[in-house]
Amino acid sequence: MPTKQTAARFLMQATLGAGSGDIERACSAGLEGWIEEQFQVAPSVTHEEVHRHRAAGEHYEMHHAWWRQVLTADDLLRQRIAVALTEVFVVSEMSIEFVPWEMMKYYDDLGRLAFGNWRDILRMVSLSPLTGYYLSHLRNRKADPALQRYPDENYAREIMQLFSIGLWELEQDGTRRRDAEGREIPTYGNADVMNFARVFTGLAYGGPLADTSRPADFMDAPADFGNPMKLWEEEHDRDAKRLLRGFRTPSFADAPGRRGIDDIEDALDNLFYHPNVGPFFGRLLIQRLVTSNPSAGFVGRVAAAFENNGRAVRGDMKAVIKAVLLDEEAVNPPADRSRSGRLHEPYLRYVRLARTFNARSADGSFRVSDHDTLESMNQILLNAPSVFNFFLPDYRPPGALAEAGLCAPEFQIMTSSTAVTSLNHYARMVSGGFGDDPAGPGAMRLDFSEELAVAGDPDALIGLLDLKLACGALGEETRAVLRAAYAEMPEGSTAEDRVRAMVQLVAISPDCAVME
Amino acid sequence: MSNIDKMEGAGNAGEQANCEGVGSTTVNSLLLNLAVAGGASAPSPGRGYKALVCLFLDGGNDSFNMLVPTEPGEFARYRAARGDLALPREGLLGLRGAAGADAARSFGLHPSLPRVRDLHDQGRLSFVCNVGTLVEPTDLAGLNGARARLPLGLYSHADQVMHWQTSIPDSRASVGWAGRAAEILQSMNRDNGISMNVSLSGTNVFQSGRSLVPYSITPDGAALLDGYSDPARPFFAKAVDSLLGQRYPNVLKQAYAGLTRDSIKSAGYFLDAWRRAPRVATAFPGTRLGKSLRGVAQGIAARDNLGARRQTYFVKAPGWDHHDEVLASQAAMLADVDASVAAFWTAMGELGLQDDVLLFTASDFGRTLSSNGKGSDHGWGGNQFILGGAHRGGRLYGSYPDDLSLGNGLDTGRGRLIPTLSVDAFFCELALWLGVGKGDIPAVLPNIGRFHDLNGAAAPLGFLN
Repeated sequence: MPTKQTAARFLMQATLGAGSGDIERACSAGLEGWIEEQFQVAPSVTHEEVHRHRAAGEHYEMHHAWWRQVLTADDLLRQRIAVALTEVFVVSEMSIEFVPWEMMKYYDDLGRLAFGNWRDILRMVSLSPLTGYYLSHLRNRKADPALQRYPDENYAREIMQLFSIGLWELEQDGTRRRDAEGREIPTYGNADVMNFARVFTGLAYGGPLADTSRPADFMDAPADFGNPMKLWEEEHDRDAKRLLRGFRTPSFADAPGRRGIDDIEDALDNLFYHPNVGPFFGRLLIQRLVTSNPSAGFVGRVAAAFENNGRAVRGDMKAVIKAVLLDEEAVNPPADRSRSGRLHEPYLRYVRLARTFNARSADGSFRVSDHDTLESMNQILLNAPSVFNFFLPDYRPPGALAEAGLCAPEFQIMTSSTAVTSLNHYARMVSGGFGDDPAGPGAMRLDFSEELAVAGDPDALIGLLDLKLACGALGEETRAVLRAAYAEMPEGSTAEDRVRAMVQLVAISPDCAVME
Repeated sequence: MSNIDKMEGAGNAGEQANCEGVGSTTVNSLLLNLAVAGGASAPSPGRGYKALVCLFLDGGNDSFNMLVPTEPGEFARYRAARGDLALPREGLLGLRGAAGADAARSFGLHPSLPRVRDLHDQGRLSFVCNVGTLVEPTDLAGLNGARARLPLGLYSHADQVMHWQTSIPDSRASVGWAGRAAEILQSMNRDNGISMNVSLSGTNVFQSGRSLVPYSITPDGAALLDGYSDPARPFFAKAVDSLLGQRYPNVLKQAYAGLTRDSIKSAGYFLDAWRRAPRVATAFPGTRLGKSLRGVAQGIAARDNLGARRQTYFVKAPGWDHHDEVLASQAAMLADVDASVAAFWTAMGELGLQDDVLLFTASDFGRTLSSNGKGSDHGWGGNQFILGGAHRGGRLYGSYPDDLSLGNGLDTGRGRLIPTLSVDAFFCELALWLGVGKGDIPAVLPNIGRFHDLNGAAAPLGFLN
């Protein structure tokens, strides 16, 4: 049976936040047992709720449903993976028309597929009208040389660079391969982009009103962001296409009965079977869940699980997730902790506080739309500034981290202003209500009942917060600072004053902000 | 992250940079002194204030629709290449013919840019033409023969944004040329922990040095930590200082602690300088860009309180990746640029700094001249503009291609044009303007020798007076 600290560390990676009950559950089930349990929990759904409320003419935002899910649903692992996937397969509300329930449908689809096969995620993403709109392969037409018009190259590039294989050929352990002269080897060139651009032609809005037998519907069918795109054959490029690694698709003239979607399936397979996917996607998932600088061994073990789940299946997400979360580098902090770990994402630090302390409102609503977190933290779910996400996986902050050769992506959005404003955001939720109605009946409030019960005993209080917010990693010096602060609080401080001040200080502390 | 601890008292005696333990600042002061002794290339501390403002049009502005040839033959070739993306000739805003430009040629601006046109015609604004990232001077024969060395990740956003900001397209790095310039120039400013590189758009490569990060502000200045100065709760500030002041063996924790601590301290200092500065009265558009440029103007107004003699400002305007709907989107966004930049110019007039502040645009790349049916795709060379700084304005610098036909001598395919001017040459002149000495240019722009002879008499572009 894992210790409470081990379980808390594990849940810090496997969930968006864990309360005492969650920690006890992981202790009794064991880490792998907890994962297996979570694999069985039915996916919670958010988009129907948004759709229902908006159809009734109510003001309801996608984040309202998301917050209800985060704070009430039991599929903790699935939610965590879904959020991680939104930062790999990026679409952003910022650049798309206001389509709140459809955005949550995309999110729900990522959650639904999170324990399935990676190939199905790539397919869902590629045919989603949100991706199509965002990365402009929606209404992408085959070339018309007479008009000097050529297919749009955007999705062709990003599906390779960001969603599947990356820019450089990789060994299974994620290190870059080199040619005979010692140079790194690009995975594709611009000619490949132009070929893949021709693959992703002919797609336009799907939905019940779009009829692919009517040519005009390609341009004229109503915008529908809730159903997969459909393919209009006459707008699809029918010539042979060169894919990667020597593969080709046939010309339609040579392949009777071939349809546009066959080109897309072939191209998705071409990427899915590329040896880069395991190490490329594996590293991204490790970075989101565990550590910014995984060892080559760690990446290699995850990539091996991607390659083969033990039953000769490639791309099994369950195997990949287990390989990430149960790896020795994830479960136990390494012996040398000087370079390990990651800075928690600022938005997820805030979410973690809300989940750990079981935020609720008096009127039972979850009206949190997070319009302010973009400014205060540079982050908000499904609102990245570009398809490159909030930060780059290889970002190296100038100074000691760059000198040590370390990546630390989350530092890219930690600026001299958000370093302070994010802390203010946490402080305000700890000391009062948060959400869209911070002073009214819809105000979300944290529940400190466990802390209040031990507020008179500084060691017990600090110990409890240590476990819940820092998985037992508060250093001796940090604890001493907290004890001194407790002792120096003004006379007449109430139990609530003490708890709130201590939560605030723990939330600021480097031992809580960074998981080693 | 750095010298905040010595900030106290910076307002009076803090001019001297060569205190102990300040890392790059100390080194640079030494370099500065050596350079002064050598009589060559040091920035003169006697000179007044200068600021360079980078307006980054993120995503790749379709700039061959920003600046369009209007001579009938050139326009016909432009229209044929652009197809459904061609702007109607009658809507273009004609530019006054510039002295020195080829008299037979004429150009027009996108109809959304009337104020930019006026600033050009008044001799305050110029264009820099077909400029882009190059590893070395490149032509089509070299490119087709695979002899040319090309920027890494050519045509991809992430790499081209990086290379526009580092000016080193043959590698991937996170140190930008303003970051390197700051390592030389920072010591001209009061040593108060506020970087000379100030960003309204957060972290960026352009302003990041080896050990230096940009100072990030919001359009309202800087934020103070809640409760930190509450006299009723002295334990709180003391605990925060202790938590962030410990030494952490883990480098990520140490970096987080240092950055947070510096930010808390600097915010108080910066906000004080900001609030004591004259309030910029010029009205700015209420758009994000307008607010950001207003923030730049207000920051510049606080320069004396901050003890700043050299600054760069970085503003990123997102959303220029117009694979789709280029015509409508770009028209609205250029109108925002037009109004915001014009307001900024007026504000600089209000501060009496129009000759001391130079704004330049940058962008990932130009875009394909040919259409994808809805918009344009990633290209290479593109057009930018510069405003103010007492440059020789009302001109076109570099060389605007006289033939935009598809398949022209610069076309790598679909109208992706090989740049005829390297960003290095463009930036070299900007760096010289800011006060980087000639002898220090190779430290700021390591590839400059491939494009420009620093020992020659001519300036790279010639817009400096």
